[in-house]
Amino acid sequence: MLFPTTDFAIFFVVVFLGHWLLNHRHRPWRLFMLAASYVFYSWWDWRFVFLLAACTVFAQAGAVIVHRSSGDRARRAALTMTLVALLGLLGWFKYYGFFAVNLANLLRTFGISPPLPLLQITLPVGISFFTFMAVSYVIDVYRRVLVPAPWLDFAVYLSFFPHLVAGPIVRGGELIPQIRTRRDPRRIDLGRAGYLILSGLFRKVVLSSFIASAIVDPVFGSPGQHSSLEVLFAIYGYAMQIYWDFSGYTDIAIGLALLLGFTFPENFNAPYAALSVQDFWRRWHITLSRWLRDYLYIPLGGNRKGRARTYANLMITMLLGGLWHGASWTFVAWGGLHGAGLVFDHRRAERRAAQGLPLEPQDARGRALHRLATFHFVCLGWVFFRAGSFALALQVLARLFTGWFQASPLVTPLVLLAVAVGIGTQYVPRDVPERAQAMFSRLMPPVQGVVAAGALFAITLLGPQGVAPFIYFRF
Amino acid sequence: MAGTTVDERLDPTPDPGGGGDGHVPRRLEPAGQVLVAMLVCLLLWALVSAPSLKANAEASPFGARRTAALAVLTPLSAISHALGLARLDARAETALGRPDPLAPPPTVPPVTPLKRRAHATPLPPLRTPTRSQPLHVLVLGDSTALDLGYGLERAATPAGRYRVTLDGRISTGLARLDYFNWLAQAQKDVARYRPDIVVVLLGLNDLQDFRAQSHYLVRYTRPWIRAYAQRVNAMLAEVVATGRRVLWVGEPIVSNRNIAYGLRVVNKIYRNVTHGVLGVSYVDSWHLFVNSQGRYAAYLRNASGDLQQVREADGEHLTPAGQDRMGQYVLGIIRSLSSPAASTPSPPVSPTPHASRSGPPT
Repeated sequence: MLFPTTDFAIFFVVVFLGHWLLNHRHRPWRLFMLAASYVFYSWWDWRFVFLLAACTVFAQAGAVIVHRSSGDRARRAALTMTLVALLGLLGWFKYYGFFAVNLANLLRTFGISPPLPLLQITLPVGISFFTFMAVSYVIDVYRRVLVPAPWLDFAVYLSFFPHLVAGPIVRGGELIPQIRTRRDPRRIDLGRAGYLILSGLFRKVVLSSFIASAIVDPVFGSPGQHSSLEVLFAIYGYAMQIYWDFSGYTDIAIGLALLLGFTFPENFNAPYAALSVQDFWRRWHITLSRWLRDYLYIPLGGNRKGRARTYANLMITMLLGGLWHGASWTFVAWGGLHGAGLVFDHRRAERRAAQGLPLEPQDARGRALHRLATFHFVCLGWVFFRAGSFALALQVLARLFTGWFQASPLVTPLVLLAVAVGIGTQYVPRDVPERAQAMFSRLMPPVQGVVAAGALFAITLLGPQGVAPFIYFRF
Repeated sequence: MAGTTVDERLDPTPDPGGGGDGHVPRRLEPAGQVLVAMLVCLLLWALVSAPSLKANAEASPFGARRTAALAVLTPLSAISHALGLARLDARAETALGRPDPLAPPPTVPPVTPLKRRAHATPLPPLRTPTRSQPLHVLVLGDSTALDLGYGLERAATPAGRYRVTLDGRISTGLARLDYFNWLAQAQKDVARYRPDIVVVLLGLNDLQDFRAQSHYLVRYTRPWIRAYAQRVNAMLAEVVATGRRVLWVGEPIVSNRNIAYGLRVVNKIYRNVTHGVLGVSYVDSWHLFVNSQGRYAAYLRNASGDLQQVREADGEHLTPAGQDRMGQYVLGIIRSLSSPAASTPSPPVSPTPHASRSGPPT
């Protein structure tokens, strides 16, 4: 079930009612929420609820065994087995085809034809997200940061529908305590929730769909047929599209959770205003970058084992982070590019610290240049992220230099306006939306309904017929 | 703006997770008030949008879901009309250049006899394209046409002798002209772009029941096949009447057996309707994505022998490698139309003998 659909609107009204009616009865509430989340997930393909259930059982059983094991070796063995099971599921569904094709092509260069079955496996929606949540939960139990939650609480945590298909990646320590305590039905932050849901819908349904069909899809489909200016704006456009699409969807998720009395962590914070690649990763998909930091970069040794190991750890983390996004070498290249950017930032920071200089420039011109350079570096990465193959990515980049002085019919005033709005909104002070939220929260409930209905009408009117596929589902 | 006296519920605390700095306090509301706001919002939105929602429901595939949606939306739409809200939605839709949701569904013209090769002077070959005067190819159809179009554009780019224009609309076809009217769109596109040749690829969204002249037609039955063929004929007639050549590309094989069966049915209709029509060729793309046993293949070897994934995970759409495969094949056929001496291209992979059924170029 997609958030921007009538199906989901009806589903949510029913769940909202049931949730608050059962709020004071812990066990029925958990059963209700578990059933609702499984219904939500089964809307795509009912067979995959078994996968979600298997993931839940593996993670919880593993966490309980890790917790009950006394010796370090036993604890480590239990952790390893659980991670192998969880990551094995992810690997099978997401990477089998990629692995089989690459292995077959590699062995062919040595004259070997392996009898590998070339299966095409359907990728279950959201598997990368709930696998990472399950992994973090088991590792937190191993690290003694968490004690295993009761089975039902954990099952609700992992399948809770607002975060299930596209995050944010909420940790056990953040959500399980909220599941275990009663939520206050008198204190719902409708002002913020309404803003997040409606602005998220606008970004996802109107802006993202518009820029995709207006310039991004045609240019990335066949870059050679378009001018350099069109290619340039298609790259900027894709930077906006993926931001609107993903931040829009996760903001809707955060808003829905708020209506149910839950607080999710923030996932985006004006990423295109970043001063460096390091800063970008503090602002883009925040819950993934802190997951990669805490469960991959730091266990690899982080920055504790010398400069060379620090750089290697950064590269490994980002290469694997790239692969998490998709089973393709273009995603690995995207991760590698960001890894190289982070290494560059670290090296630069060390040099500046040695010279007694501040990390970032203090003057407005210097900061603007840093922002501009970071934005374009990120855009370069998006070319690999969006292009379906290396050949296409290289065609896009080559076309940037070989098609000037040609007609550019796709660079319309609306496209220019959309890109300008996308960049401009990164610099809107935070108190502007907060004032709007506060104003909305002070309206009478029927008036709030009328205002929201107007916004919803405008969104459905300006959006395309049907809903464009959500980019991050396939991750 | 209506004020409220519930100031003790103002929330001065920062949002956990850094969502705000807490300088602008918001009123926190009880669940009952939130429910009222939500219901007012959804009800009002549904009332204003009822004509569009009902039009969308009517254009959706027949079945329980459509029946349930119409059961709710029909009275809602009547209330919307009674309150005058329906006009608001219709005006907004037409102001944005979209079809009026209150307009009646389009009609399909009766079968037009098409000029047959056997009874007419053969058409001269298409002109030989040059860099200064490229051949203009217009690709029309659904999301698979987008796949083909991108592949064709990329295949055509290096030579610089072909200009490709692409009008692909996802979820469209000829079965549900009430959802999207390809008969009108094809006419509009040909008049606007004035191409040398039109390539059509659709059908994946047509494997459903539909209504024709108030008759409910169950898919793949004889009346359904007759009515669908009438639509193919009408679209073809629109384009052929302008003197343009047409390549009607059949749908490629898909992984799902039921869908593959349906595609065989519509491909047969395309082949029959286009057979022998002057200026029209049917191109079979089925065999481009089969293995040596003639079955669906998601992975195939390219010219250098490397395995490539050619189909998306849905088993229907094409990956960039698959798009290139199809694009190169169709470009080869277009080339053979302007140079009859050139042989019809072979598929990029050896097909099974039974799978290759490309129609002869006219």
